[in-house]
Amino acid sequence: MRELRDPSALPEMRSALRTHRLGWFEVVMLAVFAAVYYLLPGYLPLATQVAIMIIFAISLDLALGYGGIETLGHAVFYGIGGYAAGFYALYVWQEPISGLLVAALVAGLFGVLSGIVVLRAKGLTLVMLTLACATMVHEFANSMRAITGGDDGLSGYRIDPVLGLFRFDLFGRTAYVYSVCVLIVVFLLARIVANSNFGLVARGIRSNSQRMQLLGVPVLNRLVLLYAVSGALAGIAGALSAQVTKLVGLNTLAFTLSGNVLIVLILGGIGRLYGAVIGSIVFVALSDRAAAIDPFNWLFILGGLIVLVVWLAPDGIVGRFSALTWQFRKQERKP
Amino acid sequence: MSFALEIRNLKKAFGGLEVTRDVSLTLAGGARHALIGPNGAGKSTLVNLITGVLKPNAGEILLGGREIGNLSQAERVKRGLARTFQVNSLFSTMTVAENVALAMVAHDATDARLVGDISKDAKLSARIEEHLARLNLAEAADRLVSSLSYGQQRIVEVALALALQPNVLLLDEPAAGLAAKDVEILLGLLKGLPTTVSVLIIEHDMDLVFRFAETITVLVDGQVLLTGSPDAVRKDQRVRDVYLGRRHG
Repeated sequence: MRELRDPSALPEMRSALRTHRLGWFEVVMLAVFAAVYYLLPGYLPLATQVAIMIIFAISLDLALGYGGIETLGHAVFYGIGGYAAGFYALYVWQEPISGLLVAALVAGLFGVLSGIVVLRAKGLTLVMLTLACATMVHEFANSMRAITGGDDGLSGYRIDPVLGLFRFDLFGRTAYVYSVCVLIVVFLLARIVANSNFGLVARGIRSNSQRMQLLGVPVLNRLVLLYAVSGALAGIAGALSAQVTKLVGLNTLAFTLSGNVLIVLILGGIGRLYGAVIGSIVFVALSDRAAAIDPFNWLFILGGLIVLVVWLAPDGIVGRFSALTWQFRKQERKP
Repeated sequence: MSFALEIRNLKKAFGGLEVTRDVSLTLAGGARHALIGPNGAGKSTLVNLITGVLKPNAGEILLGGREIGNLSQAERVKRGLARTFQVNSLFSTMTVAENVALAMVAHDATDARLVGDISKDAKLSARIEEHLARLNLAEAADRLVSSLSYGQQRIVEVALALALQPNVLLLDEPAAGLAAKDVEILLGLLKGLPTTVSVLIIEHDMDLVFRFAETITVLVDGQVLLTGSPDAVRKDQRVRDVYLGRRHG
């Protein structure tokens, strides 16, 4: 047997148990969000969309990036959250924060119920089941026109001022600040989950679910819990969209949205939380710029740019950045 | 008297092919038991039956005197049954410390805990450090499992199973593919296991088996040919004919 080295020379357990830590990235992002508010007031509605997309992408990152749940139907939670918040405002109470909580609860519950069924499958079967699940809910919402408004969407509700103080204004200032505050809360919540025992177990399931089972972990139960948490956060994103736009359309349940949020994560980088932030900013900004350059063929431009990014950074922008930083540090350490 | 592990008349067939024929086996508390036999004798099948990967056609499996035949794999682990794999089955994208942490949170039943930063859990960190130090893996704590040598990965396999604090440990060819020096490290590790753990080892490395096991069962064509002390097995002509040959005679 070898002798143990000096304990101080051994790796620190904190770095060996890799968790997500707050650092300069969060400070920079807060500065960027503040700068947008003061310097680009004309872009506040677009920036609000970015904040909502980040929340949605974070929710997908928990399911896909941490737990390895391959889904093409994540919009189902976004849409359910949106409709829940819309109905809540229409029939119960117009207070926005309780609306978000109700939406999270309804979407999370749907995550539990649908998860018990779909998460028994893996790979392509799981992808197809999640897609089918979202399509069924989409068609259900479409057929219940009298309640959901069908193609016209759910509208005609109002939202009270946030905390009874900040009224939603025409310029989108309140909507922007409100969305960024919700984003900060969701980011911190996702970080807590990612850093917890459960977050580690989710990564373990993604890495080797069979072995996880043989460690005594009920894998299906844990995946359902993760799916519900992820669904609840996606529901918050949908609810936020419903509150700031005062409209919930069928497009909130559509395959396009599920595809878009997946592209966002692929662009930014999966399983890092930061990837959701960077991916959303790049995706929404690229879409906006591409549409401004060519209103008719903007999807072609967007597609080309995405291919370019994925080609140059297969692990996403954050993954590429991490790899470069790691190489730089490695070179620095060389004598 | 209840045994740590007792197998009664276990049978398993794949279609018309009988791979486990009426196998009975007992492991007392703290046993060091080896299961040997030629390739295709049904050794790994037996481990898969005990751990619940496969369902037997007939027979009973008792852990600490309680029938576990109807329990899921996860439930059997919770009852104190752990195993290693013939081919490494680790969390290769995670660090060594994370691998062990997974086994520990699974054993503690804190795997559904949604709050609390795991890297700030001082008690857990101390346990991982101690566990890794005992297995000479402390220096590799922050390394990805995929970056370790094959020999080190075999040790991590054992580390994972031991982190579950099992009553019964099933080792499926732990020395397969190991260099001689790594086999010595493994043997030292196995000999240092506490007597609270009963060990059933399947192994083709007869030097390791004879140096470690106190009891040996020889399995041939899915049947128990003989159970006895290493000396009795070594001297048995039938065992020499079908498996050991002259070298260990």
